[in-house]
Amino acid sequence: MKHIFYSFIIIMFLEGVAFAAPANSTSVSETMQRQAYTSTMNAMASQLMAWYGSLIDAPEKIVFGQGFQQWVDYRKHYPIEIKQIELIKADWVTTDGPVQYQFHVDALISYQQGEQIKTQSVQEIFLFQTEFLVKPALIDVTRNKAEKGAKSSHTGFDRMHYKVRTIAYAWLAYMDGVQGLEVIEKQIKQVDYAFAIGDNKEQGELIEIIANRGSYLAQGGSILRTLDVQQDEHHSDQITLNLIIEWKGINQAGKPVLAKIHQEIECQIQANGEWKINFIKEKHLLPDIAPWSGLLC
Amino acid sequence: MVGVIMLNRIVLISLLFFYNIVLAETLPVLSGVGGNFSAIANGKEIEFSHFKGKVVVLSFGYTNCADICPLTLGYYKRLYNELSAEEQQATKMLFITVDPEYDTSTHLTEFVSHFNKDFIGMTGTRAQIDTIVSLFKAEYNKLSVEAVDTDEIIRRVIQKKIPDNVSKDTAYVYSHTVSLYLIDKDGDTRALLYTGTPIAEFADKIRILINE
Repeated sequence: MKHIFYSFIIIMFLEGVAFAAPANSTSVSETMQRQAYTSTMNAMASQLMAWYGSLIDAPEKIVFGQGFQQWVDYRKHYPIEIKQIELIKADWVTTDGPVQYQFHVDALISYQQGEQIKTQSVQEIFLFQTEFLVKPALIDVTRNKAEKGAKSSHTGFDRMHYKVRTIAYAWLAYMDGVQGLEVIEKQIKQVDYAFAIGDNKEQGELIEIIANRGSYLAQGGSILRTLDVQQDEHHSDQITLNLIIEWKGINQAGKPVLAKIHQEIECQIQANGEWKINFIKEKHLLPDIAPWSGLLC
Repeated sequence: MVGVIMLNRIVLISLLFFYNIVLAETLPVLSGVGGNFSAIANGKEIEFSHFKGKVVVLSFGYTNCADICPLTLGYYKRLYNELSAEEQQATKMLFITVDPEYDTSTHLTEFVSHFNKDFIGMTGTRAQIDTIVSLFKAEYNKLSVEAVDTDEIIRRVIQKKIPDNVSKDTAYVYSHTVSLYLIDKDGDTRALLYTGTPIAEFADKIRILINE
């Protein structure tokens, strides 16, 4: 009887631990959860940025979930000569289980009307259908409110602001394994990629190097911590994005990994307005894990 | 009775196993921190990969350091004493000098041996030291413009034996990273700790990595 009791205790204990502890098996599921969360968020954020960027200045042909036609139809709801769009708030909410997400966006749209710059305040909801590691499909955009707004006191939310973020978020999602991100995939064969992870340094074609990088960062998720943009002083078509990314996941051996990554993405704006990525340079920094980690004595 | 003892052992082993897994989760590989390098220890050039299979605690300093280095080595001593003989066998305590011009291998070995004969002092060329510092994302700065008289200014653990033809022992003063790097058996850095980390906590982390 006692033995049965002990066995029962062991089984209860093991089951309890299996669910409660981030053990190897659980850690894999936690890693997948993080990968699903960050890759979905980054891929949706990229599309949202592409959407708002496409409204500013000259219209841009961007294919969203249900095709170009949807964008053409919806574009009619916005003012014509939009100069900048300031996103005041963007809340991400789950709607129908884990497959549909909504972005609730509050934005201030500044546009030219005659000689004047006017402002419109809008509240919009973007509905995305998601699938693990597949580009989320934008299936609906609805508008709650559109009214005259107070003049935006900030500047800089122009087409470039959104283009930079479209590329940065798409790149993060691509690195974490999302398929179908045209903004990245259409040019990956031309991109030179170099990384330095400790004493491991590699450089070459993006596809090959990113596969080798998988030994160190096999599965996980990237979160963008900072984004800084530098425009070449002498060549206005040369832009460098400086990204600081926090990556958590596992390496090929299944060990948990924490990385603070600095990436420089060198882009060139083509004559047709498209952005070509030339070179991506990656360096791993000291993660911010302890207050004494940068301390000298 | 034998069955009950067996069950108790299973429970104990299971507890330790899952306890280790839970704690191991707090010790992620710090990507890009560390890597293989070569340096001189006990007069011989060795590669860091030589320590593969051992858990390594690594720190930076120099023998003329007046404050943190003796404290770090004292901490090393207490930490090492906290480990069992078997655990000590599985662990290497490395001290890398940031002043390789002054800290010869002989002097460095004497310095670290003052605390424990198992401790390993590593020196090398300035280029080798700079490579190690860079790999571990550490830093050091030379603080004095000129070399200072070590007799008058710097409190030291041991006196360096200087050649007879040298009248005065002088050295530079440095600031340097104070972190203690905990490195696993594969050479991956798993934690950055410091001399304020409770000894028992540090020792537990070493044990987790030994048992991986």
